Amino acid sequence: MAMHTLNALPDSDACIASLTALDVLIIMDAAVYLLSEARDWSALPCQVYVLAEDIDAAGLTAPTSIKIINYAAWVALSTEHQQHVAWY
Amino acid sequence: MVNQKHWLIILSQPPYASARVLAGLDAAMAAGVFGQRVSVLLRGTAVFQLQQGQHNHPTDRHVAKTLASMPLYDVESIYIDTTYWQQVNAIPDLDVMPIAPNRVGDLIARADHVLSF
Repeated sequence: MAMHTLNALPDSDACIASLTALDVLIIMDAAVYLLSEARDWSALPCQVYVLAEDIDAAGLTAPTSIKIINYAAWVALSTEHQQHVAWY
Repeated sequence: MVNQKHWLIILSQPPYASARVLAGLDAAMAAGVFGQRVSVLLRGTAVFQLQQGQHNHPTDRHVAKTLASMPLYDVESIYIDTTYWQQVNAIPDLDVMPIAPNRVGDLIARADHVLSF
């Protein structure tokens, strides 16, 4: 039941390897460029989110399996999960 | 103990890479001293924090020796990511438990709090 936040690309493989079905992943900051890679996001074991402000700033679009959220939704997710794991 | 929580301290950087390294070790030792259950995970190149023969700058604390002192602070569980572990000539005087990157999620699930450094 962990909420993972991924801020930077170098830790993305380790972050994704650690995900379980009960987790959520929020992609933000420079990690949004991960979305420019060809990857089957729907194959990940949990729901993936991206911060709207950061993906907009980068001028990228999110694959359909990824939900775009605002800061309020991020706060809501943080209240629903026991642990927060920061990958930065 | 009342209010005892299980803390997982995740260290991600090699020794002397930044102030985050010692900040993470300090957090682990402080939590241990205050009676918390503490696990430390060295992931990625952080496993080189256990490398023998480190020659630290005189103003830096010796990272491997600091890790070797963890049992004195009641930090009993040191997990090491298997990715680079074969390349590490590790200090002999510390018991560590290997963990594959795809098992880290289980470790996180068992913790009450996760701190990443």
